[in-house]
Amino acid sequence: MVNHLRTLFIASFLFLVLFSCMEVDEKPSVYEGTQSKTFSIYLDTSGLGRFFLDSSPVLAGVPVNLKNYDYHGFNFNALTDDSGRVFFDSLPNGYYIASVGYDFPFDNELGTSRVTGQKEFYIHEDASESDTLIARVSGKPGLKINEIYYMGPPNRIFYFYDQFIELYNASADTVYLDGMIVCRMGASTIGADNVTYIFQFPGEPVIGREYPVAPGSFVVLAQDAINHVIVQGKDTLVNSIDLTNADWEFVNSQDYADTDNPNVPNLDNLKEGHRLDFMIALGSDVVLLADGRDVDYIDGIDMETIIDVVEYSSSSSHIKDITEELDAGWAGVGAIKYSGQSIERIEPGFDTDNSTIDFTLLNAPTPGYHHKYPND
Amino acid sequence: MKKITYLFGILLLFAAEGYAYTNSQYQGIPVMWRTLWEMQNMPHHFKDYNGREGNLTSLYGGQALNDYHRLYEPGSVILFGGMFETFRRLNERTRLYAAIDFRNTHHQNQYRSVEKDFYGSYISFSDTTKGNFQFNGPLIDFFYSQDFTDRLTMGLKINYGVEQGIKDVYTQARTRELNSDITVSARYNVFSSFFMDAWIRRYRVRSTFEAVKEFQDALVWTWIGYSVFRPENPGSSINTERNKNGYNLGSGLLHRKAESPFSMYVSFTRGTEENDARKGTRSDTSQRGFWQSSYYEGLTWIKYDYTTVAMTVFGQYCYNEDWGKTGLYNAVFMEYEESRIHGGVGLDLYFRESSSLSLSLRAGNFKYDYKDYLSREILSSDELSWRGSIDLSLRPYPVTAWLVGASVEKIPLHFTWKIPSMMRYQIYAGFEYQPGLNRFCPSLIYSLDVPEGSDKINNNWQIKLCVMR
Repeated sequence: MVNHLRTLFIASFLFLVLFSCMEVDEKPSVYEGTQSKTFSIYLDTSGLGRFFLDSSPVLAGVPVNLKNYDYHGFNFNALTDDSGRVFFDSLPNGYYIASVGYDFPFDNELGTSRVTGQKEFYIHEDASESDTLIARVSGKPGLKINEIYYMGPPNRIFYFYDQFIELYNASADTVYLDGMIVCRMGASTIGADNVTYIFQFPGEPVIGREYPVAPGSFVVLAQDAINHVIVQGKDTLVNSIDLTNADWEFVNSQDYADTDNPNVPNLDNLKEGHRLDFMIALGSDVVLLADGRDVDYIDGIDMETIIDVVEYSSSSSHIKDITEELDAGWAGVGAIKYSGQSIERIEPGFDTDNSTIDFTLLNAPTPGYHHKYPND
Repeated sequence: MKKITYLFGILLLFAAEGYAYTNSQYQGIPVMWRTLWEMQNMPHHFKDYNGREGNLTSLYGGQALNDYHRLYEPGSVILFGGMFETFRRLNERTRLYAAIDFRNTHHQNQYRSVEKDFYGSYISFSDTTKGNFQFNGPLIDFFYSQDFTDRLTMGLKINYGVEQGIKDVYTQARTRELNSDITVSARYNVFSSFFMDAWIRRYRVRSTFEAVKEFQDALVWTWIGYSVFRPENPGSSINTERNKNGYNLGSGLLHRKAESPFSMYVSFTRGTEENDARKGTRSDTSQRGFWQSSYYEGLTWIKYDYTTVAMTVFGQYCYNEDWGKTGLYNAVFMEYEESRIHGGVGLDLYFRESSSLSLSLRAGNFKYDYKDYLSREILSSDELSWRGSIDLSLRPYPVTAWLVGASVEKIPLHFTWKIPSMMRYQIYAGFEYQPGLNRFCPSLIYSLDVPEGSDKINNNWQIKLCVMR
């Protein structure tokens, strides 16, 4: 018996000795906060040749912002030097977006014009220490989906019927909404081939001139154009919004219970058998705006008719639902359901076809105005 | 009486040693009861325990009102539980001890932290709620000691515990913690008065945290260090977990002669512990960070134990060297060095067979140097620490015994406290009565913590009732 116990003890001792030789990690030689990055800021002069006949201007004295998206509160700012370069040091590793938004004084007919641009990149041991950032004099012109409010107000009754989509005319010309369509898209494999909802403005597509949008103006498309602050009682929806004065309202004529504000014109549902209002998901979804030449949703929306597409998701590891040709990224990372948050372009109409870059997350919606310019 | 005196005596000499999931110092209520399995950490030392065989059943409770506490710690803590212990000498060479402790800990008004001990790790998790956390679970201990020959004694200790915690807000946070801890040790009598010790300890702790938010998405932050956090993707349910893995190796040399009042001991311990933190679970993992700690300790004491007086002089040196790296980029985000050195003297005067007066005093230095490369903070401190105590045990009648004592201690604190130190004033009293076969031992501890530079104070009391048969 004693021999057995002795063997047991020795065996367990040896087992622990071997077990204890656990593999410990080598201490890395790289430290956080020691990385550097140099950006050369170039101006994209394509389409602006008549202003820059000889050479592209050097963007000197332009503030550049780096924001780290791995950690909260890591923003770095510096000015470009005389050669249009900017240097950052003592940076932690991470996923970053570099951005430029500056009213640059050009010495030609452009005068002082806004220069904007963004670039996403990673900083780590093996990443390049130098990079380029292409800035544009303005965003791409045209009618844009400028804001999507889909998260619903803070509430405990799952209320999200105060959703709205805001459009913005970022062109120098008046555009017309006649016959345009607004779609909610499902996961698409080729172009925009998976239409979930399709609602249309009245009027004749492309040639209609009844519903103009002036340059620099906003258009609010409400799911229900009512005052949502009081709709369920003052205690439950105090942080919602009043959409009584929305410009348009989604009304499904096949849904007899859908709210219809008689003072607000409607976009109507085109999809047969669809009996829901224009409700978009609180987690991730895709919203599409097209000129209305193609309303045959069965085979998808023709690419050449698409005006703007925005994909959003609250997850940074989201797998894209649409091709990068339509939207290279997605907006709304970090958005919280029933928080009153909204996504809006960082500047009115700012569009690089990458919603990750173009949009920012707002704590409260801004129907009919831009968060940076609330008094405009 | 001898047992209770011994228990408190050990308490006063050495700092409390917690198990893997018990509170770190001052996080909640430090459990001040010293039971056999806590004081005899080395299983082979168990041989020297001269307590009475039998069963001990205890009920205990306490409350800490922490007016001054760190941000992510509770405003108050309530503790209660029950423990059953049994000790047997199976024969001349074999001893066995087993215990089960079921402990409930309630953290009141815990701000944001989804953890029981937010500051116990360099990588921690928080959400956005303030509420009450309830932790409970069983802890099982098993000791076994065997003399194989006249010269060799070996011991085995197994500690196993599980605990779950639930935050009682409409946004729920749940924790689950599982620890397993095994120590094997040996003492070899090299020649007549010299003994050689060796031990090895291996432990693992797995902690999982889940934040669930009804109606809205849960918002969890992963703290990298104590100043920088990463907001995790919101979701209706967010899972995080942490795994701790460590070992200790130690050796010691004891000089003890049966007929001599002098004895002397010197030991050295080293250990390594690694921790990783993940968002998600092992099956769907996303590494958030890793930190590793190396630990060194040297301990020595000399004791003179005569019939009416016993005197102990001891010295201890501990050194920690920690570093952490971010999970995604494999770069060092923090380094921490800590050293503690202190020495002391203890004096026991025996008036009669079972009455004694004990005095102890220790003083030392606590030093740390913390570098956070993400937040670019360098924090260091060099503080004096000391403790003095007096204990009196009386046995006026054969069936009755009293124990009273008091202590004053200056406790240096880490940078997370924002203050350099606090003073702790503590009194306790124990009473033992043996009407028949059973012995009843109610006891009470009260302590007052006074943080330096603050007008707030913390109160802490604990009460315990033991029945031994």
